[in-house]
Amino acid sequence: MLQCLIQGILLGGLYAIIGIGMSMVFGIMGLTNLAHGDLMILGTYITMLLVTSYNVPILLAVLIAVIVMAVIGFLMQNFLVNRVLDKGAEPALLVTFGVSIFLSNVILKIFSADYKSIPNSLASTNVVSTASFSISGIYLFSFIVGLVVIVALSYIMQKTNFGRSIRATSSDTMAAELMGVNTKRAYSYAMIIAMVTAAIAGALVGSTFTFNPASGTSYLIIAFGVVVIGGMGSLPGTLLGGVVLGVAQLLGGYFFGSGVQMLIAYIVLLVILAIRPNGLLASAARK
Amino acid sequence: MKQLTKKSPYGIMIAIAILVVLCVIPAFGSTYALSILTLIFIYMTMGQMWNLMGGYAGLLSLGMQAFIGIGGYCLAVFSVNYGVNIYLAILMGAVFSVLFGLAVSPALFKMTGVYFAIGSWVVAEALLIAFSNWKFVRYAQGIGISTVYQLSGTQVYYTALALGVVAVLVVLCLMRSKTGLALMAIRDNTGAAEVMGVPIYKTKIKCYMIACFFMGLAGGVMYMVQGYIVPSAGFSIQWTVAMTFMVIIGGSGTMEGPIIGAVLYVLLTQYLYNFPGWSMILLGAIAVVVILIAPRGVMGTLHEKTGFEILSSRRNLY
Amino acid sequence: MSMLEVRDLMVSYGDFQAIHGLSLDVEEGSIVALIGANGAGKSTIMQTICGINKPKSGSIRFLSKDIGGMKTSRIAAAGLTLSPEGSHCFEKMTVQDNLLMGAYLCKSGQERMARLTRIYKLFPVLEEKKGQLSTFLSGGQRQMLAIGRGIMMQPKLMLCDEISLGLAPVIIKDIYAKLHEIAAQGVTLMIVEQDVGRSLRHSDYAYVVLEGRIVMQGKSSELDPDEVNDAYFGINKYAH
Repeated sequence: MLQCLIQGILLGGLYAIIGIGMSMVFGIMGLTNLAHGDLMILGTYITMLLVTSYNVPILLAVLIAVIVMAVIGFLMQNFLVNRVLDKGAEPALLVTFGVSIFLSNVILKIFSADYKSIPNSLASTNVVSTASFSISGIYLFSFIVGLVVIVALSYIMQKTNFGRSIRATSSDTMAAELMGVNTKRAYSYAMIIAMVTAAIAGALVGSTFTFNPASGTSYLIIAFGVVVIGGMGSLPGTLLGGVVLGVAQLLGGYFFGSGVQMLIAYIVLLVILAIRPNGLLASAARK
Repeated sequence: MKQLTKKSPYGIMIAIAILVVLCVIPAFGSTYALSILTLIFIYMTMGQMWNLMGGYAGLLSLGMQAFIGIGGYCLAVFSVNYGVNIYLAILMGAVFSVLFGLAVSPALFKMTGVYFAIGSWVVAEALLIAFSNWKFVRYAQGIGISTVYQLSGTQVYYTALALGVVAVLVVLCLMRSKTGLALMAIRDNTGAAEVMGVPIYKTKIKCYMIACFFMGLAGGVMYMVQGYIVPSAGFSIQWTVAMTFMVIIGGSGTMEGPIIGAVLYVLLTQYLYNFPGWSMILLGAIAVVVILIAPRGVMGTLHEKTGFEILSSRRNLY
Repeated sequence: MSMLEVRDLMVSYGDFQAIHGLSLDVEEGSIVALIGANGAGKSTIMQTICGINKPKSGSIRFLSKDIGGMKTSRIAAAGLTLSPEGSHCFEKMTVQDNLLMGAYLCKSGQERMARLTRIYKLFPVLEEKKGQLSTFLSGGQRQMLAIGRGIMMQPKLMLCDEISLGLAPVIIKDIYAKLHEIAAQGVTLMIVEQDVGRSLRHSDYAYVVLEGRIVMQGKSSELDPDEVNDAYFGINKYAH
């Protein structure tokens, strides 16, 4: 059980970085990106392809994936989302739904439905190993990367001129324009950042678990869970959301068997959604 | 409004003519044509119900596949395991769908907008996992619905036709009733509707229950066609993809939209059957393009440009 | 040549035409007032000048550059901004971050800080509240924040829409005193005001707007407040 708790918390770091891009995009432009999971899995496949087929060193592969995903994010925002964003929440939501269907089936077409993984040395190494628990290298690494990304993003958003302009855009688009901010471009930047985090998350997911083209859907739900538990748009909240989901999942697996561990996580998510429709940190996030 | 009153007799005549043709088709239509039409009727029912929720009641749901799965599993379990009559089993599926909908509604209806959309999806995913781990329904292996094998294509055709017609009539009557007015008031201005005494929660839950009922029926009839159910197919998000696609393409918030959408959807997927994988890629792309260039869909755009409409959901004022 | 030249401007919202062929000029270094009743079209004029609304026809030239129909952010970069009606502070951001947003286009951090110091000198109350979220400020403080934020841009021309709306007289007096300080620093101002007397007292030149048209204009010191009042309400000869 201690093992489950520790692993759940570490898994939470990974979940946080899966959700952070979705949270940002929601916080800034009020868009629920239903393609977030599939975009992340696309990042996973890009990294995997480079590592397994072209023998690219994994860090370089991740870097390339990050760049490719940033470009995709920019194109998607510029040519699809920005064009429907001012028509209300529903068209934008449905556009991302369409992108999600398109993307997951393109991935399926190219890579087949087989489960794949990104080979790496960390996955099979235990950093700490005692009688009562052990810590897997990749879990710990994911957690640390998750933390670093959250801290770095929080710094950028809070302290830099660029971050301020993005926050201003999300707070009052008209006033931001009056201050000289090109708000449509600010949205594109936000989507690029979200896709960069998604590419990193994708590489971590692919190094930790096996995946197939349908995985995007389950990771979208995880991302959504992380975001609603933590409060849409709150960066520190995503870590809390990730940890809650991760611990719920692994403890659920411990008590009820691994087959239903996600079921337990989903039920926890639904209960939290029903009691606190705006997330656990909703009030704190506004401070 | 005058224009409407003039048009509506034609609308009814066209509708009746189409219905008569559909009733006699089995006499000379090929088996393949019948199976295509059967699918169209079932998908039309789903689209009609999704439209009732998403297009009229503002309840954008991504989790209606939950009820397709429940409908399918009820047919399988009750008719195969307990020897219940097939049609009764399908009806029981609808009842169970409503009961399940009632059970989750207190939680779901606390959520609004996107939260409702994804919350209902999470419910469906939870069901998928639960059924995959449930011995009673043979885990993820699924159940062969042997009882439906004896049915003829014509029998299934008439069942689907009846389902489709009833679904359209129910939505039509609902929209022309007081509930329909309430729904439009809510859609146009929730705050004002509430102040005017429109019972928002009750109206929405009524629509949800009707949609649950018909989704359960549609699930049962769909698995009458398919004959084998596994959790990953029964509770698949693909059902919602199909519903969303039909309504977007056809035009949300119109009566004819889901019908046209269902025809296009079934023809497209059948046509692309020999190019595996491409149909979904194309569906996604088409959906995105339609939202960008014709956000009101085929019917919405047609109606806007020409005033054309066969089944008006509005009441005649004269 | 004037700093801002509006010629034959027409603006409509769908089928409703709000501005009917309106022309006006703003001279550099002056304070120009737009006077008119609710719904006369004052806010529409201001919002069209800074690109929030798009003109249907007519021209808007700022510093001899055609800005009609340009994006708001590009007009801002040219040195023209608006302190919008209802202040439009960035609610979820602190007072200081709001002000720093004003200097968004200024790429030097040092320069931003220098401007911030000047604003705090002009509005000491904002310095006291600098760490608070702007949503917790009083109406007058929010107005000061919106003006301060605009000045942080160091605009050449600033439009101020209804800056006295709903404020107590003593605060209005204070805000107008600050506006004169700002004008003295070389910022050209165009103000929208419903109070005729106050508009004339605080401006060099005034336009009276009625139903989307200019019905009277002149040096503020030479306009007769009673006649302006008649024009304001569209009484007899000004009615169309």
